[in-house]
Amino acid sequence: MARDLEQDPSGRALDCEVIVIGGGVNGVGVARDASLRGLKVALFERNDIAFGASGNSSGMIHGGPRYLTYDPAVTHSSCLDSGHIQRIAPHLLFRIPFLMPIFKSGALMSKVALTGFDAFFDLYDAYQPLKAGKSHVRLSADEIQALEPGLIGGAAGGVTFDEWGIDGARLCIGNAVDARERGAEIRVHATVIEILRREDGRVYGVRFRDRVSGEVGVRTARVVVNATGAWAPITASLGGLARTTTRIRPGKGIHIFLDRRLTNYAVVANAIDGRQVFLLPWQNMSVLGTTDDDYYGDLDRVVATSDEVSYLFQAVEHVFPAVRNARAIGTWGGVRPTLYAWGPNEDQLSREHQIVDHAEHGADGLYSMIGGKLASYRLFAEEMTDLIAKRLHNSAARRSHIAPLPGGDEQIDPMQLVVRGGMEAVTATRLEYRHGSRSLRVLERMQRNPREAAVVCSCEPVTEAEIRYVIEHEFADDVDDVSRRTRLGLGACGGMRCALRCGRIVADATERSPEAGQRMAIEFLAHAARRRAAAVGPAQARQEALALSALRAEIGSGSEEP
Amino acid sequence: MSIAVIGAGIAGLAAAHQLAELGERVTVFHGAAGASALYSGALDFDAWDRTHELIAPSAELARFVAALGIWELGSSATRVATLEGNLRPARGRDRALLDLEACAGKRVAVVDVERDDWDARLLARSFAEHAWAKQSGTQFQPVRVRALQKGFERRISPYDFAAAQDAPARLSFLLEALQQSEAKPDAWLFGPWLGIERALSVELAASLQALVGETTSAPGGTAGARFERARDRLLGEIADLKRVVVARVEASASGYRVESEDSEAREFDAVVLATGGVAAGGVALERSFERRGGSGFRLSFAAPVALELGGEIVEGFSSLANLDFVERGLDALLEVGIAVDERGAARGNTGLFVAGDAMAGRARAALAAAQSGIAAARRAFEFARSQGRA
Repeated sequence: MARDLEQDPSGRALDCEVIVIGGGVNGVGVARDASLRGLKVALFERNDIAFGASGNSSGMIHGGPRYLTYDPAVTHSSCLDSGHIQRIAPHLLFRIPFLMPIFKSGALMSKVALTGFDAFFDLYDAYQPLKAGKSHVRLSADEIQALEPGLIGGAAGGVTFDEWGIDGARLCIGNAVDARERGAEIRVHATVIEILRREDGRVYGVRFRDRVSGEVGVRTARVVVNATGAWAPITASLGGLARTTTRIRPGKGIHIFLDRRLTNYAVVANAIDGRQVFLLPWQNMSVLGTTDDDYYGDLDRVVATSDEVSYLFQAVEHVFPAVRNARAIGTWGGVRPTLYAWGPNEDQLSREHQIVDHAEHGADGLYSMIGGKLASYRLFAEEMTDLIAKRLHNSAARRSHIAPLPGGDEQIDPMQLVVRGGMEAVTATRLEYRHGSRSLRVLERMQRNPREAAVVCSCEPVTEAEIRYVIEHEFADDVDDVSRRTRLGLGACGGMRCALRCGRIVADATERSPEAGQRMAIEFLAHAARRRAAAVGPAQARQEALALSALRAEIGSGSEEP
Repeated sequence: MSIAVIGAGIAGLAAAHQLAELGERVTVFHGAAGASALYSGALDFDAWDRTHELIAPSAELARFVAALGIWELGSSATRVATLEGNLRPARGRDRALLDLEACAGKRVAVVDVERDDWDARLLARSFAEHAWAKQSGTQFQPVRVRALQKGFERRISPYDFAAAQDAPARLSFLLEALQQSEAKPDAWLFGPWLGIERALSVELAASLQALVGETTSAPGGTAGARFERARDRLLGEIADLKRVVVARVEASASGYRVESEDSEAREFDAVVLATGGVAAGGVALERSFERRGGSGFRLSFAAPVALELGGEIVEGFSSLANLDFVERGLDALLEVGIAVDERGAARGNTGLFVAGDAMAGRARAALAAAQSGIAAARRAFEFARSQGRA
């Protein structure tokens, strides 16, 4: 290896070996894997960990059944990896039994369709043991109605299949925290403003600006990884590369959160254009998703539109009329960094991710991770890290599939938290879901300072101890960050009763003024309201009007001066 | 003459009271709790940050406030502490709220009670660092007070905790807790918990020789509950209360017919509509699942009136079939209401008068509602008299 790779152009030793740009699941996955192999890593995230697609996905660790027909090897590796993720973060996964009702006109067509699905899932069953999944069941018309009485009548039958759900934001946080504990530098709210290149074009680091303090700095490294998802072309351009070197096809997907648990099964429905959408039970709520539309808007402000909301409602109420009565309490939107291809439907691409080595564009040392899925993040990160390790002559073993993520080392009984900490059962269960064995650390905080046991967000619920814990240990710096990690303010009241209090706590914990705390809370509430605006229906309108009035009564509509 | 008031929030109640002063015993229709039951306890004519200056209440408004018996409306603006750590100006207040103008330059103890929804330490800091506190030299300190009798009181709603304070023994319990404290402040600031029926703040103040009061309430809290009690008491004295939901108001040969959901119809010479806006349920949002994106506002009952939004008449359901809050902003939910002419009458209906949040584009504030109720009542009275029906 050439000597100049160990130093920056001015002759100073490089700060680290790997710089990762982007705190989505791919970025934190690489940061963690590289750290596990003993490499020195720095990661820069412009907004927050899991701010983009990773924190706004359907949250599925699926086994990839759709590859079965043309590339069973992908299904095999997906299922195998689903099993790995369950092992390293058992607390974060929850089983989602899917129900796929079959509606076909005519007895013969129904029978053909049912038999087809039955045969298909027979194949999938062979892979289910890899991810502790259950075999599918073929259901008669009566059986499916009995299982899910909310389904509209007239189904010819259906099939079940088994998948796993996950809180995508928590998965990312876990990876980022683990990377830091293994020596990585994780910078949140720090945006890379330039990718630094030597005279011969090779990449040696980044210049960044801390968006909170305004500080500008430089980090140098032997390898820079662009893991910025839908932002990838923009990031590449920071190194003077043409955007076409990292082409993606940005696909916006939105989800709607409903205020109640409507089903115990995820129900699959066909939208008006034939796409499959679903209604998913999520703790005590339901999720409706998702859409897929080309998107060229502002990536920092992706919000659902009224048309997208109508599209989803219309599709699901077709087979599950009770969604009409539910109150939409939020929407979220993300942009998938789908692989670029002109022509073929994305469903036909067998590979969902690829690594671009920018040596071919004269920028040796820079790699871009394009595409990817939450479910296959670990494999993608491993692939990327293998490449880096080979380049840096690192021969440490791969361990990201066996080393537990924070909180995943041991499964604890949430009732332990109830008995030892006097927490309410729901509080304890949610805390254990989010933090696994590390919920004991939150419990310790409460025992040291009983005031922190106070439930701040009663919808989710979230305690003051958990808020302070995520500020101290999980890079949270404002109310929005806290919400992403704890789901604070995302329940039925939309943060009306907890956002301002959370702002006071964040301000206190980060030594800012109460006024600064109030400002970040109002920003959070305003953003949450923007996200909900598209989904305001009859049942939500009154709540919105009330929340607006209450907020005005609390903070007025501007400053005290006229 | 016979006049109906539909809605028994602040606007409807003020209208009924005004008509009683004019010698009319009116029929008040009251279906369900509206936005008045959710108010904060602070009283304004307009969004609070623009009514710093003095607005003199009319004599009628002052008499209504006196009759209600739970509000204080001094001769100038006051200031109250909010539940979220602000010190905000207000024109008046539920008398249980601490009057901060009276505390200027003094030491205020923020009671440190172990309730989940209350963090005295951070609240006191937030109050103390507020510009008004600094300018006026007012100090805020958390002071530990053992105000909980039972463990579960830590998590019950503020309303339930306030209602618990109505129990006779609670005064001496609270008094003892405050007297045990080392701190001898000039004022005690509580959360919105000082009783629904009894005026605990007044009783405590008398015994302690100190100012005692609450912060504002969150929606659905104590101040709204106190208003409802006072409202029911006053209505019992001055009006005939019908606890039914109105289904339809329509013009008839002899004036206006009001049909309730119990399908009984009654005739009136004039009607005051004080049915509230979207927050109260008087105006509803409808969505049609058959028509893609179809949603629009409508009145929650049938009446020959038009809704108005942003200065434009909302012609029923069809023209707003694509009402989009992403484009319009959620403020539309507060702006929409019944279109009225310069006399406060619903357009095209000379005997239908509108008050409070039901009016399009008006300030959603307690005193504005009361003021508009009084005005609507006077016009309804004039109208009924001009019809010459005795």
